[in-house]
Amino acid sequence: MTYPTGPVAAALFAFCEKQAVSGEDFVTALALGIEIECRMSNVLLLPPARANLGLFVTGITGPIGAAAALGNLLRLDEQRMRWALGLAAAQAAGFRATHGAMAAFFIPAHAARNGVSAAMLAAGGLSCTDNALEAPKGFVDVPAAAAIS
Amino acid sequence: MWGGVIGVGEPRSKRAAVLARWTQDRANWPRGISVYVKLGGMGMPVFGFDLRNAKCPPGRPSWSSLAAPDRRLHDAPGTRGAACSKAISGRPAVLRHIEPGTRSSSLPGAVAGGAQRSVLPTACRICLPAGAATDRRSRDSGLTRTMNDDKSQREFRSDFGDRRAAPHARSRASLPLSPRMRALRCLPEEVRAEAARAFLNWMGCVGGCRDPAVAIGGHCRRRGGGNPQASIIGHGRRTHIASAAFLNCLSSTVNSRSTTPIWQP
Repeated sequence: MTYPTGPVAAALFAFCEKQAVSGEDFVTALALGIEIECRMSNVLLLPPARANLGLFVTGITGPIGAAAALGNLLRLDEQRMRWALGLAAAQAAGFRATHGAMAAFFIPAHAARNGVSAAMLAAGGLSCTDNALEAPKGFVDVPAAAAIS
Repeated sequence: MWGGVIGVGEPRSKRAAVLARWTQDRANWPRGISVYVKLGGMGMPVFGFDLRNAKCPPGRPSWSSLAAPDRRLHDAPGTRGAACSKAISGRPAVLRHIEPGTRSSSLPGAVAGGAQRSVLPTACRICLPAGAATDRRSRDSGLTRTMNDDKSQREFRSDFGDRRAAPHARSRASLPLSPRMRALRCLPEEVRAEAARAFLNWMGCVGGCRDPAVAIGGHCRRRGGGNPQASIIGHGRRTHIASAAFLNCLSSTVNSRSTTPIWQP
């Protein structure tokens, strides 16, 4: 289970104050980010994957959703979008032992910030591997090995 | 605090601190213009339900099976819903699920109190019994109309979903789209509506911007500096984009992490 809107909407809303964005582009990017974040959560959590349930999934997949949404608004090309998603995945963080204190709010917020950083760094040319999500020893492989056969 | 007052989950070991905070907060309820209690996670297995294994989101029938509308849960202590209700309010309360757009006057035995707004489909609501904040109803009605009026919802949807409705936004220069991106813009109407709803819900949750956690984050941010590019909602200040995203997401999360959950079958 993930709470996808927080990181994605926060990242988009902040960006929209810097650059004019039409309502249609905004909603499209929001839907895209939420979709990517939910799919990444499913990859980690649903069979055959067996990710540790102690993961705070919003913190793990939130940066990817936010980076995808912002990358869409930034009109990243395929190469840079791959970098953005990889840089976002490299910043995945969060476990559920933080629940019950302010740290529990910090994790989705951290995801939003990292998603913004990932998209903007990729737009600027900071490279990542092309397949950081699906590669061996990649984002999915490390916490949920069985997901990649 | 999640699961705190019910006594499940991680806060279980901090029972005294949770109950002290809860008692203090509960004493403030009657002062509110509109009292809302979101029963986050009420349908989860930890409370004895298996709604998450259903094939579709819980609609009215599911919630009704948990707590029939208008049933005074306090008088039916054998039900699970009653356990929630008593744990939360400690006095007679009515738990009901109200479809979006329902007019408060059409509800049977309308409960006195501030909370007369309809709610998003998966949320439930505790209404305080008569006597709590009764004189606030008239003040609340304006907001009720704004939030629930069919016309307002249509206008909101058209603002976000209909490209013809926002010529001023469309006329602004956007970066060129690749063919694949253009195809992506043809979202189904339901997806558009859900995305707009998710954003509205998120922005509502940013009402948590007065939480001490946000104040601490904002204070640290100010010491770090940063170009004023984007708003810290509710604080009248601006900071650079990444930090604004951080703080606004923090604000939206303090309200029990209530940014729209998306149902995953």
